[in-house]
Amino acid sequence: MNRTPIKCILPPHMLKQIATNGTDAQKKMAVRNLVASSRMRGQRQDARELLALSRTLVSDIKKRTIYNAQQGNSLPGILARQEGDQPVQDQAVNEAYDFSGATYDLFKNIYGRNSMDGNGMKLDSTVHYQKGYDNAFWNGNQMVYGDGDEDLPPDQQLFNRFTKAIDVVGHELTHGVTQFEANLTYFQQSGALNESFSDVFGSLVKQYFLQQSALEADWTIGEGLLTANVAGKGIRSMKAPGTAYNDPILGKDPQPDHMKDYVNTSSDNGGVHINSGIPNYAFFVAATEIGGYAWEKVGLIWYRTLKDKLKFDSNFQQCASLTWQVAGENFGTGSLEQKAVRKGWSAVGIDATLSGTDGSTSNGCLPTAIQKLGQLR
Amino acid sequence: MHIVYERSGGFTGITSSYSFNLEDLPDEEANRLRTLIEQVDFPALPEKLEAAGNLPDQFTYSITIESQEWSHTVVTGDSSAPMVIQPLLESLNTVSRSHRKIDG
Repeated sequence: MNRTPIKCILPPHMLKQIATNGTDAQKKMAVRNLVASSRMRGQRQDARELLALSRTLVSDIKKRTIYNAQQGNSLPGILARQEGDQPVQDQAVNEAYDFSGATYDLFKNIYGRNSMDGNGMKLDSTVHYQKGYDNAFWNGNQMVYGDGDEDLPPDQQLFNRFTKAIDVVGHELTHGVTQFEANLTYFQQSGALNESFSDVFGSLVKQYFLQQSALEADWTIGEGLLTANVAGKGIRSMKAPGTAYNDPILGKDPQPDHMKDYVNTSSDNGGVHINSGIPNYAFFVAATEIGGYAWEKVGLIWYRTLKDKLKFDSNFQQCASLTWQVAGENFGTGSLEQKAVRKGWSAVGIDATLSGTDGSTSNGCLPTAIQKLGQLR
Repeated sequence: MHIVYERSGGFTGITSSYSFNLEDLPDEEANRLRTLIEQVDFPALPEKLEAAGNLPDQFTYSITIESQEWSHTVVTGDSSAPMVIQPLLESLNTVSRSHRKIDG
């Protein structure tokens, strides 16, 4: 038997203290030793409880750290709040903390995923990035949020701070999940899928947080980001792509909801935030067709497709075929769930029962070239 | 001196641009921009200051400046823009947003 010295020295009550109050490494050691010693004593019930304890104490804890860029460009900035700290005065800091926690919870509790990389990755966020920064992004390692138009006079402000919307936080963190899984190239159709998966799970984070069914959810992305000066309810609508805003200054939401209106453009990395409306609407139709909590079934199908099936250059047709295949594998061929997925894609003009390998569209070999370039960085 | 500033991509995917003559701005703003353009030696900057892979939700910036002697365009992004040109980007962003005109 492999006995560690510490087990022989420290009595169980002391190990339990360490398991509760020690550092991550100390907790891990203490729980492992408690489990081993209770097994030796034949206390199986004890061992089961301790294994459960080890999962909550050690490997599956959130590790959130929020930084403040103080309106500058340097990342990550100064420490503002870390895991376990009480809320602070700064609302943006608390929103980044709470909503990244809610995102972690959806992926952990529903899909069994421990953080964005599946391996307990720290969740770092920076708020107050630059002055007048109408944006949020994932830079490959962390989330970054601007304050919108805080530097303009109130009557000229169009955007609020980007931490305000829980689904924006979920959206950014899902870019992390995608990066560690399918790593969809951020260009044209694979890029629009990358965007769509972020909108899908961003919306599911919000629905899970609010415990809303597919029928109760608003399916709006970025609700609350636009100020009262703008005619719009959010940045994108998964329920009705193209209707989120229609404003004299911002213009009209350009998202299509069908392949016949697919937008070919060189701007926005080939329209990744525009054509994402197509797979977004397919998800919405499938979710409402099945009903109930969207994260449970259609969310699971989309998650497993992202994790196990999609490749960096996958296009819409391939994504449709693979989600349909995953639905069959998980819920049965011809199941209600598989039919709902087919109906979702059918609503946007894609037959999910066709082979994905025949679905080569506008993506061609460019994502491959971009992927190779990325690897050379 | 004529300047065309365009910002595309980002979480919202909304492209905004602003095209203006430096001489039409208030003196203080025009002088500040002229100094920043001289400080970075704009016509000597590489045309592409972009990351190798496209990064999710980051802005892409395109700046074209035409003077009587030269004309030059620089394309860059949030993570790839060198620190030296950040003050110029920030100023152009402020000018553009206070005269907001959105393209599609």
